Amino acid sequence: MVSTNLNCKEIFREAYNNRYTWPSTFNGYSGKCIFIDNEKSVEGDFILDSNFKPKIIGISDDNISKKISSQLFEVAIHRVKRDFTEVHKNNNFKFLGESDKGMKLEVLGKNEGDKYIVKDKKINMVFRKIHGVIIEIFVQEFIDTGDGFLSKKYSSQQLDIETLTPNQKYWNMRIIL
Amino acid sequence: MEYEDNFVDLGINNIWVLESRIIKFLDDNNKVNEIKYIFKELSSI
Repeated sequence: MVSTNLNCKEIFREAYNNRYTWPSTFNGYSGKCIFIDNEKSVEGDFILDSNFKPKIIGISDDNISKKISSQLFEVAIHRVKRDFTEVHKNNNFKFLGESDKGMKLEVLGKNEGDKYIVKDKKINMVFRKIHGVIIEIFVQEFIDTGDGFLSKKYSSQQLDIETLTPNQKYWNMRIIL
Repeated sequence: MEYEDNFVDLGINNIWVLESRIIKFLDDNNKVNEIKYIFKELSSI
């Protein structure tokens, strides 16, 4: 039986710290990048420096270049180690319930109303208000790096803040846990 | 939007980076579209 006296902040902290992040000594990386959609395939090179600002080289289509850059930046920004105590110092976590999906927690405090589901010491659902909309992410599969977990398969949708109905038309608005 | 990411170990200090990302989404006609991003020949700097 689940006790409502669980230390929800500790449970969330453990899952938060289980995310894979890069060591602070990592100076970035480079390689080739390929963009493929229904109409075209475009190849170029990229450099992601120690400031995690991607530079795309050899792609003349600015729109495609920006899309590639956005993906690299979004992944990189999630790899930056941000201390839990600093990020969530003004938040507390309330137990909302438990199911086969995991333990549902609601944030109280600075990020009031945000919700998470934690299962097997991993965060597999995020419900966050950001820039006036709700972003909801469900993770279906993780990769275990040995130093933390990466999301492999997941869905992401934007919800109207009033009606909580999905809005499919959004791009590149991703969040940092 | 559905995402499928694959990551690869650069081979030093257990640094994992994005190797591919597939994004599936519905267009205005409710047709499933797919965009792939592939990253290869990756090396740390």
